[in-house]
Amino acid sequence: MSIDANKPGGPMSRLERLAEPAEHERMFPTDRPADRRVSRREFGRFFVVASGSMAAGQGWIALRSLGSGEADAVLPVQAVARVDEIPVGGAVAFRYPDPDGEPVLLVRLAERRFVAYVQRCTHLSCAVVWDEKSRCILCPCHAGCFEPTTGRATAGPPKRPLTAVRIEIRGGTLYAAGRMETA
Amino acid sequence: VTEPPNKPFRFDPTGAVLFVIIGVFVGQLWLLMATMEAVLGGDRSISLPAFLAGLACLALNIRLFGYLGRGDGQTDVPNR
Repeated sequence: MSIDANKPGGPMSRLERLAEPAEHERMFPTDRPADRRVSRREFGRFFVVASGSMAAGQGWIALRSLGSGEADAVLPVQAVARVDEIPVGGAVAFRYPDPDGEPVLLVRLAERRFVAYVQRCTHLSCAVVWDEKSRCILCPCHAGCFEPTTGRATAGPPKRPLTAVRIEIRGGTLYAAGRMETA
Repeated sequence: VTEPPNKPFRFDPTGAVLFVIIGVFVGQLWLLMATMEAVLGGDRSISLPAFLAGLACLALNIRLFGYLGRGDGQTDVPNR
């Protein structure tokens, strides 16, 4: 006995079954091409909304920047370490102006020569480290390099110098005494 | 051999407006990235002017958006 798939009322082929609308589509018919169509106005609205989101983001950045006026504040003098604790060519990190403050990198370049910089790269704020071999304050994120005596960027993407912290030596102890503008 | 008929160039104002909107959007995206980079690098003086520029871009985009038609088959000018 042969089965005729094309016969009305006969068993449907697999393709025919797939082409048949599903039960829910028969109950709730939708115009799919019309649903998927995006008008030019809708397309434009997307960009306007995205533009508004970016403006809001910039407003948030501006608010945050205006709110943090600590750069102009007078910073306290804080003991950092004893001179003999740091070998020549060595470095220590400390937080300034308080234990929750920004990390600062203190480097001993020579017997009586100390420099300190805020341990934050001026490119994208990665933590910089002292590399004694290359005599460079290094940003490991994008291979940025800062000259240790001035804090100026000498290689990599950073353009601005590191923020310096003034170091004073009193009676064999090193003190951090405020931030300095670097050239 | 039949040549395809030459279509006369017709200026599409809606497409031009969309093009400008996308251009302003891309410029604003660059501005946001540049602001982020400067602020993360410690240069905070740029944030307020950048915010104002971002607002200007948004205002321009909203104004341009007003020129777009109201949707499919509907335009600001009534059909006759």
